[in-house]
Amino acid sequence: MTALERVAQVFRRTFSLAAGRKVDAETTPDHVPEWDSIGHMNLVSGLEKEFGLRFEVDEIMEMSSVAKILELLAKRGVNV
Amino acid sequence: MSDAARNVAVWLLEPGADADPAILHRDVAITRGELRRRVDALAAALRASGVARGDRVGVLSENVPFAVVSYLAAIRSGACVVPLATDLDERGFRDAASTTGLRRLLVQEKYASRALGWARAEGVALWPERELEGAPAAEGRIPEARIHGILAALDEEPLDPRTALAAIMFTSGSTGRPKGVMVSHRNIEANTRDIADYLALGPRDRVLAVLPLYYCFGASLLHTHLRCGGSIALASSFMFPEKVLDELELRGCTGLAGVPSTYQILLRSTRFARRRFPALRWLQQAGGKLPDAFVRELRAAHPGVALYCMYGQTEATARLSYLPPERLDDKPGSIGRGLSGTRLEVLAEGGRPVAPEEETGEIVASGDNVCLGYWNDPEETARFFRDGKLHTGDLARVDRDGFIYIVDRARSFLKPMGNRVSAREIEEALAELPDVIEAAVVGVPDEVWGEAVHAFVVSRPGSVLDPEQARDHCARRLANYKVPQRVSIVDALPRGGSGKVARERLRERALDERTEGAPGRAQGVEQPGRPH
Repeated sequence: MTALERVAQVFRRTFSLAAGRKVDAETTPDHVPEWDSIGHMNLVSGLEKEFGLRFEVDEIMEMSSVAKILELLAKRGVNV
Repeated sequence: MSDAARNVAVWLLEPGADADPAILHRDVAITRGELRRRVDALAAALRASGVARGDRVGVLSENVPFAVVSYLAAIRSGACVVPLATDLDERGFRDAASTTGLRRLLVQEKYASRALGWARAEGVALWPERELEGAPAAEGRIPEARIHGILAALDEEPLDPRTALAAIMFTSGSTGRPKGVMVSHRNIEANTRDIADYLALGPRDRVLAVLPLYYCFGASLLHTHLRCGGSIALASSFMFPEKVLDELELRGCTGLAGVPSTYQILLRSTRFARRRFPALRWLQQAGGKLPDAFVRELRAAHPGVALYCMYGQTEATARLSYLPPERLDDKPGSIGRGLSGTRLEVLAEGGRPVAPEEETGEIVASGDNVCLGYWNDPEETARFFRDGKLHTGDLARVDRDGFIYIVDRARSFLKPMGNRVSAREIEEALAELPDVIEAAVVGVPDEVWGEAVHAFVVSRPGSVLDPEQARDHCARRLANYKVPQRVSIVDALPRGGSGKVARERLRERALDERTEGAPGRAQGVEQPGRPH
């Protein structure tokens, strides 16, 4: 499974999205109503669990799209 | 339509040339002319679809241009707009829809699929953004030639601005179930005039609206900047605050408005204090008291920018008073005096004015901005709206110059060991710690203390603040019965849509934590949270 697929899976789990709901690099909070400030913290926990990482607060504040999340994962050594 | 009987949406949209900017959102700029045209088109469409004067029309949207057009069009059509919080769950939505008897819901595309089932269950007709945008005559698909006729006929109908409802605004519900406040056309006009006047707003003003428009403070930004001929830059979320600051700089905003947590987060978790904003002229702060420590930091960070500390309630349209920035030094912590059209009194029990500097009483307001009561709730209306006056439930003192100082919300007092303690006093003490972003204090029943003080503290990124340090600081600063028995370090405080802290939820959480720990004895137990 690619990193994007794993991230998409975390999104579906966190926000209880339907299986067919598209999550790609372009996805931002504009597309997912559940991705609000509390949803964001749950998303971060889900990503940390999935990738076995701990994010810094500065990194959390930058995760404003799936593309940004993938960028951060790459910086942290995840193969994207 | 005579001047006195005009629809407040028309009055708000009147100033400015067609080419002047009105709304900015990311790369989109909407001129005054375009805004007027879109509002008229949607208002006519609502009317043509059978919406009658006084019908309730909901708006569910973040701060995007659609929200502005929908809000103004609903009012323009003669209906009563009901702006809904975007974080409502199904129960919250259905409660709001059924109590207000909502007939139509204008919904931003992002929320359309979520709202569809809820709206159906309540018999509310859904108008999603996608169906309104991009249609031949833009909003509502009404041929342009008919729009004028529909609106002209509408304007022939009599409208009494003192009694006709323009909006039902929900209170933030920080202390209980949200209530729908009935706001008249006159209320909006009166409050808008007063606010624009003391802020000296003009056509060059541009506010960054990060507060949601469904919150009365956010709506007041829209009203005042439309009426003064200025413009509004919309920020749809405060989730990524550094990006909000980019907008503030990029759009050349002259003003920013926020609740205490807005500034607390900006000062402690972003580069706000170090960045420069050459166009910035003023900061507005309301929605609760900003702890003095933050007022000082804010002024030190941006010395050339006027800071307006203000006081208001949804029940008073938005604003009741403000402290002139030049009085921040000699009247620190004061909410100032009433607006020019608002009379504020601090009354002791029995209704007589309190003795200055001696007694505490309730703030009671009168003026054209005092709303008409709570929708469909005669009991609560009778409690807070009496003889045309608003009984705010806020307890305050007044000094010899008539400046008012809020002590606390009547219901935010705690009673540890039988002493009357203001939650705010403890929160202010905690906010003095440089690592604290914000704090909220609640009381929970306790067999030893009667009511035990439980503090929830959000610390700044990277800090190692622990509950014991926070308690030690309080012990140095406060009387012993005011020192929290328990301090929990948390990632964030739960909030309602307006950004205010949801104290009921904190109380529940405090109770849960006590059942897990040793009742009455647990001190400084840390809630497992994100280690910084």
